[in-house]
Amino acid sequence: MKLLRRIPNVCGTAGLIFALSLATVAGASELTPQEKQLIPLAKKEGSVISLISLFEDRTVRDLEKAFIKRYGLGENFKYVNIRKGTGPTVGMARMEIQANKVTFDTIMVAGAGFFDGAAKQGAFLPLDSGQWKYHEELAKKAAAYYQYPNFVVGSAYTFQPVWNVSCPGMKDVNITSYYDIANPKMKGKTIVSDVTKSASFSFTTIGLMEAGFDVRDMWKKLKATDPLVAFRTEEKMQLVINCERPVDMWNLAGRVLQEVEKDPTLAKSLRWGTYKEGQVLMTRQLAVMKGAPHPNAGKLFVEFLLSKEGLDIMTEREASIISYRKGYTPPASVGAYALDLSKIKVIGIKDEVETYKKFKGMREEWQKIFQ
Amino acid sequence: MTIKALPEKAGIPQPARWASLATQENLITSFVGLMVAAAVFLPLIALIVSSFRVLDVLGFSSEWGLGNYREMARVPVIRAAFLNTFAISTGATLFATLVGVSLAWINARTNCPWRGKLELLNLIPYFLSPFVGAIAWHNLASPKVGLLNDLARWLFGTTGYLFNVDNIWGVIWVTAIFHAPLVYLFVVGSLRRMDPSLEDSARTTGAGLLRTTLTVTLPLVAPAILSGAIITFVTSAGEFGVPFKLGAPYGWPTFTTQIFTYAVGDDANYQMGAAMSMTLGIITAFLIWVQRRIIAPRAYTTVTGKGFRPNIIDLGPWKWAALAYNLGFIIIAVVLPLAALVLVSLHKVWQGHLIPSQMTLWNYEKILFFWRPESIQAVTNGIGNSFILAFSGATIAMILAIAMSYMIHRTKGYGSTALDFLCVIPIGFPGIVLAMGVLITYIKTPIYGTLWILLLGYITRFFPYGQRNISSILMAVSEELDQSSRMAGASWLTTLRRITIPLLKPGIFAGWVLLFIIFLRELSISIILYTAGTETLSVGIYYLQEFENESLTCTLGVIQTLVLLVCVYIFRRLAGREALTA
Repeated sequence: MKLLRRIPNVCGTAGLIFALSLATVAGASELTPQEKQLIPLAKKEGSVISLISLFEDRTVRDLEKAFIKRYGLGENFKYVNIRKGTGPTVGMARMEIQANKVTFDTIMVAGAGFFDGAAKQGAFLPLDSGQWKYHEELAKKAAAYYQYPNFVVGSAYTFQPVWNVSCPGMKDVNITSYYDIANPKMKGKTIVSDVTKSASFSFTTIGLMEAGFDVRDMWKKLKATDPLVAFRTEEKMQLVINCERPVDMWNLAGRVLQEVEKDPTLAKSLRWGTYKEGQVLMTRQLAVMKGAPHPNAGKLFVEFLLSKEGLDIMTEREASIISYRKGYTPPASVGAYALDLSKIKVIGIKDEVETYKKFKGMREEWQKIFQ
Repeated sequence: MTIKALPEKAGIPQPARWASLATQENLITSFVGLMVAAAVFLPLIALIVSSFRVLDVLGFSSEWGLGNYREMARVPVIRAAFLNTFAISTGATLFATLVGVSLAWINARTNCPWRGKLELLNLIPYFLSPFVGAIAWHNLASPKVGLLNDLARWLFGTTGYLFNVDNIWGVIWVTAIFHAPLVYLFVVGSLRRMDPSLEDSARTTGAGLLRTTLTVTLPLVAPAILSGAIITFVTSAGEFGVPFKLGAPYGWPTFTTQIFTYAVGDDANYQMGAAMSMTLGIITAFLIWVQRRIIAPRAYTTVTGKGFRPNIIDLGPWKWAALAYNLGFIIIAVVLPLAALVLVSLHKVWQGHLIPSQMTLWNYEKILFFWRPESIQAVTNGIGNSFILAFSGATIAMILAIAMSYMIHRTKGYGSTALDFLCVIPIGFPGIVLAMGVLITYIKTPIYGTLWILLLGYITRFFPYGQRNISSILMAVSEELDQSSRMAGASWLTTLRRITIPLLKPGIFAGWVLLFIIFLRELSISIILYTAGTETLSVGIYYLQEFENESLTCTLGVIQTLVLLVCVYIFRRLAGREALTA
């Protein structure tokens, strides 16, 4: 269990420290009774639609193949993913819940406040998961927010600095602190992530504030670098690659991996790191919608995403996946891009639901400085 | 010719009054009228109602109140967006008017070489996607990676930059060059129809070319210029793609980008989006009302209805300067952006400068070869859906346009005035505003999440464009032809099918192709209403920009532009030279 070997509890409340043993991988490829029960029902429904901001097209294709193969769903079975940003993902789900007109089956996004509110509305189908038992222990230790059987946590992630050393003035740059970016030397080189459009950027900001980091001071210094405001990690990656803005404060090592796979020469120029002030860990909640067009296929897909097979594909394709599955080790191919949490300072969110209520005030402060 | 009612024949039972009203004509036109009224008014009513519902913190329940409007006044970024929108619309209008009027004058009134051929080229930007134009201009003139700045650094050995479109000026620039043809279209017709004796009088009293143009020609076409300027102002205020690419990321949000953020962003506060939409919609609708009711009618008081052939002014050697100016516009508005898109699209991953050794057609294969595993589903869907929507949408919209035009021009009284008003309303509301209304109205119905909701949004917003095309021809066709057919015993439907529609054929085809083009490039409505499986071509470009990279985005931009250019060529062949001129 390399990834989640040690997470220091810098918040001091949630019991985030968990030293994890390298336990054996439990029941990785065996079907649980719940999965066996769901297979014929899912087959009958013929397809599954997820609303997940994370997956690129290639991940979706690989997941579809593996999902069909693992459960023998037949070649005609279809998997469709609706890909939007984290904000629009939550937005679309909330809008459809309010309208009582749900067009997708499963949702996975970092949005504890949303999941909490939606659960109170009775928006989710209760899960009877056979795979969740392999995740629950670590999720509990990490104080990840879940409400089984309404929703579980699928994985976690954290934003990292990404930069391009082949751009002018970037040759010797190494980023280990927020102040390496919020630095006059970086004028005209920086990207600031638009917290108004993203729950995960907002979580990261409030996580840092709760950990005692003076975010407002950093913002002011960052503003002095004349940053560009951008939202999607993919879009920001493009700005880093073409040297338009060679430093992105919050991106993902997985995006670096995806770009290097497209153009291997980029491996020489793209770098990623972590912050000594701490890495805010965010969890992606996972649920099946009440009123879903394919409820059983949705439930089976949740089982698949929690299984080792599903995790392997997600981790291999997206890289920046931190799993709570006990004993899980990511495929060797992504080793260089995977975070070793034992070597970094990890910040957990104290209360994910309460944090949601702080978004508005924080965003207004951010807007005053950056917009 | 008038038709007199025949005296009732004694002994023959007369149909009841209600039965006499239930004619083919009345039933069909009333049905179409009601349908259009519902399509136009329901979203607007839904917007008004929603704008007074205030969402709670967790976003799952709402209560009545003025909170959204108070919030709009309170939040600095919304105030800034409002001011930016006003500044952008004003700047783009002034610049587009200057360019549009000057080009129209060169083409209609001077002996500029090749002016007949240049006219089609001058109109091309109007048919292309401003969003793709913004992407192209970003790659041409962003400070660090713009190709023009790269070229300048290479030529002059400088380290800075010459151009920067990543700001409010860039938004104004790109919006203006895409709207200049709109002003051109409004003005060129008036210039061509102008009574030359007015200018002759000025010239014979000793006024020079410049003085005559400034003191006689331009004042005479002032209503047309004002009409074009107001339409440009309204369209610029409702523009989404350009500020989304060049404004908002660089600290210049506009009302449309804020509506987008509120409506489908993290807050999913479509009630707040509705309040913002209403505010923008009321302003633009008022301006359209001013244009239609006050300014447009004045155009006919200075330009007479006689068939004039205005004097062509001999510019002497300056005709070459006029040609250079016109060619310059075409290069800036069409050639340079298209070239930038092509160059970027040829790189697998765009690194901000040309790398000839890495040029490949891989991106085109990825987008066009949809059967390959590396294809992108949202793009494949987008291409297919856009053609479906454009074909079916243009067809349905033209059917509605024919019915509406017939009702407006062949029936009398308050009904026709009301219908005429009905056709103006959608023009007054920007696409993103109308889309918000459509979303709120139909989210609980089975059409939500399907192509039908997009189709409804497209038709509601754009059928007036087709109606204008039909109306202009219908006004020129004498009513006597219809009446003769009816007197000869043909039913209303038969008359319509065998007399009216054949006479309207050129207008129908031109209107159909115009709508087909508009639907193929549409973004503002689609971006609010799409979901997985119902992406459109422009949404595909948005998707690639958000989730893939610049090279793929430009590749789809090139494909969309080429398809639109082919459509423009077909439109021109079908519609003829005067089809679009006001």
